[in-house]
Amino acid sequence: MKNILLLLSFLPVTQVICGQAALSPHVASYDIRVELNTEKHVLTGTALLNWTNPSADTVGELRFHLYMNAFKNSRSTFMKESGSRFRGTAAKKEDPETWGWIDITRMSLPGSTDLTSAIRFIQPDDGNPFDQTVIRVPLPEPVLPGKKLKVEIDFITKLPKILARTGYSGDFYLVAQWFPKLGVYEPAGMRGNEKGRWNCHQFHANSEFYADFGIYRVSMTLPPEYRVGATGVRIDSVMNADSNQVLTYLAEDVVDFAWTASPRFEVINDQWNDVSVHLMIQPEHTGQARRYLHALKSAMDYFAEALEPYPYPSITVVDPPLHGLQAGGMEYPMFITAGTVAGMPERVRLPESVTIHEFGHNYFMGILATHEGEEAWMDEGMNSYFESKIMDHVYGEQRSIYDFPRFHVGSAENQRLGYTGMRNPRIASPARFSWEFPHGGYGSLSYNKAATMLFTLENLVGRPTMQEIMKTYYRRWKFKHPGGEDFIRVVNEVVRKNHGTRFGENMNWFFDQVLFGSGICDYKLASVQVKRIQPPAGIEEVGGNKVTYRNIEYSEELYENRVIIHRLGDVVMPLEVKIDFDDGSSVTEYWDGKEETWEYRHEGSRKIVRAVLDPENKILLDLNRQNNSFTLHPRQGTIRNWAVNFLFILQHLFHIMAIFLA
Amino acid sequence: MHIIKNYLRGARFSIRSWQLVTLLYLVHTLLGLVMVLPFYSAMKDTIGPSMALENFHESFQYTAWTEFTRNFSQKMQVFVGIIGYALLFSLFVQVFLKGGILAMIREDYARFTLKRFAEACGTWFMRFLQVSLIVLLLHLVLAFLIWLPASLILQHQFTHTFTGQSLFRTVLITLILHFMLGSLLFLFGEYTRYTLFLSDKTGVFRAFRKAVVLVLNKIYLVYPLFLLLLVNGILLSLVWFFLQKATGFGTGLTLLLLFLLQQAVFWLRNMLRLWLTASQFYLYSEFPNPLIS
Repeated sequence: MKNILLLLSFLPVTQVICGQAALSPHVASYDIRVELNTEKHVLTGTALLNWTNPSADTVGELRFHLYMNAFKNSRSTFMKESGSRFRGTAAKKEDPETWGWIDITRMSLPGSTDLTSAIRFIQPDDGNPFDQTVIRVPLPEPVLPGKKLKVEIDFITKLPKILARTGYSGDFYLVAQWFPKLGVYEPAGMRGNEKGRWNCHQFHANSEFYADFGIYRVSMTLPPEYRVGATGVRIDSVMNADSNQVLTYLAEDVVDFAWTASPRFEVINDQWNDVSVHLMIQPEHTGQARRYLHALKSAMDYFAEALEPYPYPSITVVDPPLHGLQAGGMEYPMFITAGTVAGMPERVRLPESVTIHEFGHNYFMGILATHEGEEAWMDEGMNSYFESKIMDHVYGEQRSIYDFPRFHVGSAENQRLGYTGMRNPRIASPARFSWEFPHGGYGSLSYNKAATMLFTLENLVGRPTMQEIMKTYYRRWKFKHPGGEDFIRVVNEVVRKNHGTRFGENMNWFFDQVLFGSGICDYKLASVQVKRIQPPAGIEEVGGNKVTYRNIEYSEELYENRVIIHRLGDVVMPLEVKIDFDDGSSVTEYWDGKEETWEYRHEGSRKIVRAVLDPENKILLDLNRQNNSFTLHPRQGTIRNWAVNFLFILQHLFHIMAIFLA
Repeated sequence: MHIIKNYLRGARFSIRSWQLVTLLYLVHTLLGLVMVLPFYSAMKDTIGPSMALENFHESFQYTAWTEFTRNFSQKMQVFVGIIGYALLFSLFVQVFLKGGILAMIREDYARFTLKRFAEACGTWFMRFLQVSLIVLLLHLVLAFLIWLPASLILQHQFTHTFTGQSLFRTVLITLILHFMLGSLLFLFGEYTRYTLFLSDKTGVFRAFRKAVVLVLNKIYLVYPLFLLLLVNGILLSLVWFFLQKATGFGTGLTLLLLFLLQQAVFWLRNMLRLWLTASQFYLYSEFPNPLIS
């Protein structure tokens, strides 16, 4: 806690620009000058790093990410883990232009204390000696708590042909993870750390990024015909003696800096409140600019209401060309990449969906700045939850992604089905390092399951409570790198305040099962039974007299009704069961869901006709909703319709074959 | 004039041949039912007493549909496997029927009898099967010859200055090229059968060569007739599209109406096929020297 306080103490003393107080502690700031050689696809740059030791520790070394070395050869950890493929596209190993790398040609402290010769590659995650994505730099003198350190770095970066997020394709450049980037020195107490430590993981196939806040001032030199978009605000634009343009951008309170350049971009400028909106779009996609902008502004409106207004002065949306689509769907502070193709139907809202998703990352990866690698669910999962809420809110539930009259898909249901459709949903829990997910479980668990978990939580505690949870979490933790436990503490606090002990002492039971556990949730309405029973026999005391039952007249037939539910999964959730009777009446029963089976019995003149488990669809984590209902009078209209249509299709299939082959 | 005359003659024949049309309809329907009945039973078994699909006819529900198809997928795999065999079996049946169809067309308005039809089917089965296999093989070769260079062009362009619009254009041009050459192959195969049938010979390859020469020489007659007959199918499809839209997702009585409409449309489609075959056969019979010696 002491160290957190130390970290927070930087806020009032950080650099104040334009008369506004800094939003974040400026722990790692960069002043970078870089030149892009568009013939060789090489960046030559100089960076001045200004780092403040945020901890109470004396730090004797620095650690840097050299992300671009992930593309240096097929033996890097990134390439080995991904099988040299990313999002279905394989790296062309025989093409020398496929590869990218970064070299530090000089690293020194002011006063010419050289550090270059002390640089060592380390592999803290897997010990892969061929991986060069992290370096360790011992310092001649340690940095004392709260003290600043300046480091000058000269570097050369060869951009790869776009494979994963970064690189070039033709004359399109997406320049990301391109400079030597300092790891995060986490003080004791931060994100559950017992003591201070460098958090600087290798670049993995599934991992994304984590960095300290700072001010980025970046000047890039490149040919004049290129149109450029970047993190931050352009503060200067001049031509140099070589007739190249020199553009300078400034970005404050951000954790990264990315930029794009292409002579083919159409640039559309717009505004959302005081925020400048820049859309860098392909000429053949300009007809879709309205869609991009509407989606972006809708997301900005929604987040402003749900969390807080977007705090940065600008946002840039990049629409990559078809041949550079591998750069699409990526998030950086104040800078996102989306993606579409020419002729994308209005009713297919993939450009909208990706725009909203990537913009949302600005809140989770960018402002809360959670660790995308170690706790991907806090970024991808929460962001997917918001993405679906916004999509369904703006474009309509159950039709926000695909919206055709006879085929429509909503975003929230798509999230859920992404998880429930896994071959093995027990394969892992969502709360693990992103590179430790086995067999492709990363996407389904850290995006889809985590989002579905939050939807289920919302359904359990109610929308107002969930809104309060998210708002409290955001306001308390923005610009502070929260961990998973920090979020759960907020959940427990707000739920307890609003609902007392209705859900138990806290909500840990929920997170233990679905976040930290890998069990599945599946309740099944196993049977509904109705049995006619004989009137009772024997003798009963009525008013002190012994009366035989046969002397009591029963005007109606009597039935014994039973509803039996089975819990097929390990996860326990509280449930409601709605039971309908033949006289039109119904009852709703509550079950805590804990036992392996549960039974409802009713004796009387009414007959049960159907029962529905979780009738309001609250428990979205239930893997199979088809078994959540049971009727004694099934209606087969739908499958009869399918059978009739299948016959029609088969008849035509045989017929077409006859025409062309016989 | 050749085209219109034979187009109308073929139409007259197909309208009068309702028995033959009905026979073709029944054969296809029987083949379909062999697949559909166990399919329906398996679907019924999968959904069981669940109410998940009860309101599906009122509005499409992606979740219900996806969960049903997932639960049904294992059984579905069996059907997907069977469909391949069913199509193969159907091919043999179709080839078998062809001889009978041509015999009826040659006799023009003569009365349809099942015996004469079956005899003709048996007589021509092996020769027509050879023609079908040759055409099938050529279709595969054609697909390879068209799509291999097309994919190389796409791949090359994709990594250079490619845009979505040029991707669309390249794929569209390739599809049109494939359709045009594929329809030519279809015509070669069809007219090979006529050559064999009219000559009453066994030399399949010689007949194929003859048909290719004749079709190419008379392409200005053959291809417009083919396109004219294609228009019939497109018009029928449009009529069906609007009818189906009006019917909606049927259950109960509307499903019965849908079923009757579908079957009527399919019956008409068989009639169109007969129209197509008869028109082409009559046209070919008028070509100079359509026989092989």
